[in-house]
Amino acid sequence: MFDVRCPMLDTSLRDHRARGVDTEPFEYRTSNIEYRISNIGHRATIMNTHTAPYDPVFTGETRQRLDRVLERYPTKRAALLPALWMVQETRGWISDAAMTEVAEVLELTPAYVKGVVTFYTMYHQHPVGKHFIQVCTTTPCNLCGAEEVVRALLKHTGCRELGATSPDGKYTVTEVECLGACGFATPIMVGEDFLEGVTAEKVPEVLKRYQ
Amino acid sequence: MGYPHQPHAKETVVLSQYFGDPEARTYQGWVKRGGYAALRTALARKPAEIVEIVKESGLRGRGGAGFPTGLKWSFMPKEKSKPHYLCCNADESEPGTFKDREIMRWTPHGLIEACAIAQYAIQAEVTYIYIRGEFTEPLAIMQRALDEAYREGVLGANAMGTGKRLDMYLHRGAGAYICGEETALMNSIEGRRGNPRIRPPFPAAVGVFGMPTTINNVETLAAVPHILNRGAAWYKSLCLSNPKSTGTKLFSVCGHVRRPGNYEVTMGFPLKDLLYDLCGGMRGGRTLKACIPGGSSVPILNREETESCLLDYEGCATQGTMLGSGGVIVFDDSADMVYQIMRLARFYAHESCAQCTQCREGTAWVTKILQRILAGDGHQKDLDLLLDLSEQMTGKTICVLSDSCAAPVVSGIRKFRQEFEAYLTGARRPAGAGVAV
Ligand SMILES: Cc1cc2nc3c(=O)[nH]c(=O)nc-3n(C[C@H](O)[C@H](O)[C@H](O)COP(=O)(O)O)c2cc1C
Ligand code: FES
Repeated sequence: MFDVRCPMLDTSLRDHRARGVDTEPFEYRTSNIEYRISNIGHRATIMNTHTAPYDPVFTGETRQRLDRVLERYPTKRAALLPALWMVQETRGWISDAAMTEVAEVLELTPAYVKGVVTFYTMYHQHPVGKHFIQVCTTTPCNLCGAEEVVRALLKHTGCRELGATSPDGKYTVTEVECLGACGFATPIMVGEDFLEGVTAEKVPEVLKRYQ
Repeated sequence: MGYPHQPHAKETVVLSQYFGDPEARTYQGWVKRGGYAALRTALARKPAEIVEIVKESGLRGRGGAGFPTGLKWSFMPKEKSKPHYLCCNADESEPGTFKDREIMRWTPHGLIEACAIAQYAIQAEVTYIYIRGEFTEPLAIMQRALDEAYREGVLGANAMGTGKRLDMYLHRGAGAYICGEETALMNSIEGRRGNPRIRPPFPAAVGVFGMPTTINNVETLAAVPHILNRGAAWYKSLCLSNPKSTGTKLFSVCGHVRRPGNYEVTMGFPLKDLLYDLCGGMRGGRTLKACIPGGSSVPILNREETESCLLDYEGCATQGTMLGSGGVIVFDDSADMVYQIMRLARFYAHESCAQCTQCREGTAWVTKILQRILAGDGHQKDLDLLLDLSEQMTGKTICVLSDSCAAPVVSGIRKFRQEFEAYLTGARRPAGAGVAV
């Protein structure tokens, strides 16, 4: 296998790598070389291999919740996004084994499920730090100092770079695109919490709440 | 009301009346404020009558395209032979726009009532409210309000005791701007990748789950109960300029203004007054350089254009831009237009669903070239190359994400060419600022 990085296309390399997103690479084969080019320019993610036996998510209460969700839609497939959210809520991320379980429950193929997971940036395909921090740096927030917030977050969490988890395993900091709160710059998300009006000065105080 | 600020005398407060009022979030509080009266009157009428009233009011889509709402509803089959669906578009991810979030946070029952009326008017039993995944707080508030509405018998198999079925569900997105595009939104509800679909067939014929579907923006729908309560003539009379643009509109103002936030004004309101009076002008005594009046997807205005722009569909078109979603992004004289335009292009490159070549390649190349210019490695011919690329990206793809990326680039080069050239000639050194790649 021969990995080709397409340098003209890695515009948002960091955001994607941060979330381990593998947006459907194009694969094509010549006589003896297999090319794999992802449209965001990073290398194919190595599949997560598991040696420990898989502990299913959809049992008991969670299974009942899923059954209630299924009643809302005329097809089973439509419950895919909600089901993936449930996996992420329980496990923190969505492993290949979990995708296989979701596929079985909803009568889809694991490849189909993976195709959907990789499309949506909020689904984690890798474990992330205890506090997953996303900072909006799109133009409106950027005008109001969002990049300073990012720098302050990196400094105070000890994360070496965007997308890397801090050595204590507590934090992962990433940039995201517009969080839909542009007038309250800078919004950040810490896990499921949505915070507004964060400035570089407020960062240490914010982090105190997430230990 | 200029949430989070005190209301301003020049605002026309309709949708935003209860912003900041926590009591309005509860069922009891909503009913006390006259809530659900419009739904009750609607259910006593024929669906076609409601469509007529909305047509008469002149209400147009607030999600970006400005399509007449009543007309859109009238495209739904009159003779019902299969299930109909309503999708409420609460995916709000257009940079600069944050109005739907406020509607959901403060008046969740208002939105539920609005959806129920629209749903009844288009003869749908089920509404899906598609909320973007990052909106965790609006999601929780909407869920609580929906649970209340079911408990109080407003929704369900026997809605308001009329024997009609009105079901409503929230569908949480998972981080993809493109799912705000109506056909991508339907795919996302169906559990697919959020790729836009080719039209025709249009959603009114073949929509979500292959059934006739109407998709409307949160703000569009939220206006409907007010129209029923106060009449189409009243809504139509809310107009300061062109009679084709009626009602009030929430403008989300962000960037370099002193008081960013949501402001509700009558259609045709001068953009200049919005920025200088309501928002208190630029920060730190700086001067206005540029403004994007309708969310990041529309052409940028320079200072003169901004100061003479009237905020309605036609007024924006006169200035060569669009009203879009009403997300007003303001740049003062300290802004580096080249950098900020690159940042917008990077947004589109990140959000492209990668179906169409022009968009997948175009957005990425445009970003790359802009980054090259910013790094001081640009070539003289790069500006022409950007314009040529933008040309190839406009009007050639399944949806308009690609066009949206081209709009700020083309207008930016046209109106702020000297800033680009300063980088090209080396007059301006790369700032080195920014964690952006
Ligand atoms: C790339 C793209 C993104 C869009 N995002 C949104 C969005 O976040 N919210 C929205 O209401 N409409 C969005 N739209 C517009 C919708 O496709 C659709 O026109 C709108 O929801 C229709 O509702 P309306 O007639 O009430 O405006 C988007 C369109 C495109 C092409
Ligand atoms: S640009 Fe930051 S929230 Fe919209």
